[in-house]
Amino acid sequence: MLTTWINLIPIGIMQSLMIAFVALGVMIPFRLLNFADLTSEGTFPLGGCLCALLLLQGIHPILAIFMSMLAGGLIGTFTAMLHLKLRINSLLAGIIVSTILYSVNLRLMGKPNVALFNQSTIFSLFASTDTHKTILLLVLNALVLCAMYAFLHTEKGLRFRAVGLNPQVSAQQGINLTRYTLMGLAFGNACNSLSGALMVQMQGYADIGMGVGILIHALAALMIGETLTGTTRLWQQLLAPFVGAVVYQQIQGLVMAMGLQPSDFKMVTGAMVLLTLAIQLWRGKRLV
Amino acid sequence: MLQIKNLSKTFAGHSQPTLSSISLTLQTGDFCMVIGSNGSGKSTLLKILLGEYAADTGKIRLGDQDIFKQPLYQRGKYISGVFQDVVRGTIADMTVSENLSLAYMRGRKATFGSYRQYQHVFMQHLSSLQMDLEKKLNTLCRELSGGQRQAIAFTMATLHSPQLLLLDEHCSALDPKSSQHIMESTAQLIQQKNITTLMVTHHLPDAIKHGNRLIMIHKGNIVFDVSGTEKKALTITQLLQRFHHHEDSLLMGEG
Ligand SMILES: Nc1ncnc2c1ncn2[C@@H]1O[C@H](COP(=O)(O)OP(=O)(O)O)[C@@H](O)[C@H]1O
Ligand SMILES: [Mg+2]
Repeated sequence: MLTTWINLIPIGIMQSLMIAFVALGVMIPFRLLNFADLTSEGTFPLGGCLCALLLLQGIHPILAIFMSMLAGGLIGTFTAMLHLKLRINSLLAGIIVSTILYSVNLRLMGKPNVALFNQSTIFSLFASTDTHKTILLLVLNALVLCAMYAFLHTEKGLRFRAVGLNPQVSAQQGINLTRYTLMGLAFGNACNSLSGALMVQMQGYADIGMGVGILIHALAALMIGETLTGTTRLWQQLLAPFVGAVVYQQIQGLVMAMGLQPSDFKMVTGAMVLLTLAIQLWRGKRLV
Repeated sequence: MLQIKNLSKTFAGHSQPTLSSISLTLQTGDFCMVIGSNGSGKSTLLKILLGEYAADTGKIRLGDQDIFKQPLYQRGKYISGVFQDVVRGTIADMTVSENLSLAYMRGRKATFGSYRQYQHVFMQHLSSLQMDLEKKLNTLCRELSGGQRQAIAFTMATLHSPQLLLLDEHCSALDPKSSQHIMESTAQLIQQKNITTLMVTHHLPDAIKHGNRLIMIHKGNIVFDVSGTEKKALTITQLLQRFHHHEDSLLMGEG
């Protein structure tokens, strides 16, 4: 059993370095803007499906990633508008948009899954071995986290945080809440789509079902991460999705090595979320 | 200059208007005290000016702009408020310096530059308060006392002289000593920067001592309005008499 698990570790780490972006994409609106956004369930597969199609069109893999992120970001602003302008509950807005995206993704691909054949990917271009892939993904994570950290220390970033912490005081300070909410959901969902796009380039195919359950997975990762890193300082909050994604994937690997079926994962994930909540409650920290 | 014309507001479910056709004009630099019994509509008036509530009818002009329909955040660029509720003035989970940075950036576009470059400006403002707050720039506001937080809120409100400053019992949740101190700093700064101000207070000695104008609101109407030398000559006894006059009429069912 132990050897099975150990054999799974490298694959698990690569996997989690991609999932970390969804965990970050969930964290940004949720923790920094106090906006519970469920759109990842739709923008993660959107990023994947779109990226696959773009690659098949012969678009450069890096450009394909950026275009997928752009699409995800736009969709994020759409969810935000549903909430801000039509006053739809933010959770419901996310569910509606994800549902719509399911059909859109299927339309885009024209069939439930699309395989890449000899299309070049960022991995085939820059990282042939698993070690290189892992390093590439680590660098990407570091880049995105550093960019986010730097942004949060600019004037715009300060306003962004203020909107999440206290919308009333923010408005009195002349801050346009709508603009920063749109920005946050665009950031978050661009990260979700980035994750989907990386996943597709790594595994060599896009599947319409690739987003199912991604949200709860990301949430579990985020909460495990927050329990481990803490959330009092900004860098801790930013690091939490990354740490959580890596640790959570290893827990999954362990569970799989113990002989549980992949279909049992959702139950394990749900139990993990509940357990983490219980630990946070017990420590007297905030709840979801 | 602030011009309010026939401002009315009736809350849903209320049979009586909370503000019934209020008109008031303040010249630039006027410091107007607002007094009146509980529930007379003072806070409602200030919240409408701030943009937090929408009035039913009326006109509000500030300078050469009609601001009646402007949303809160747009008015926030030139109208500041400090309120009784300390929680409303500052962001608890941000440091003093971060809060002040927000106020410093007010009314212009935020840049991609660091917000930490204005600390020296804050030092200067805070030290003039003589509350040792300049040593607390990196403290979270939630860790400050009520008086300290209110002092920060007041500094945020006046860092850039606003076109209109609204103070709603901003000293009343504080202990007598801090209350006194904040009131003195308030009056001094308003005069020094010549800020047009509306200040609600229940503390009649303050209402007498400060400001060049005083209005009394009763059941949504301005029932008493003095300024200049008349305001200077006002005594607490006279004000109390005014209060009693209106309360009595209330009891007798005339109001
Ligand atoms: N948000 C609100 N919804 C309904 N009624 C309100 C609201 N705010 C104030 N009121 C009512 O308006 C009246 C005046 O309140 P307020 O302006 O706070 O008085 P004051 O500040 O003079 O004590 C009260 O009767 C109060 O119940
Ligand atoms: Mg009041």
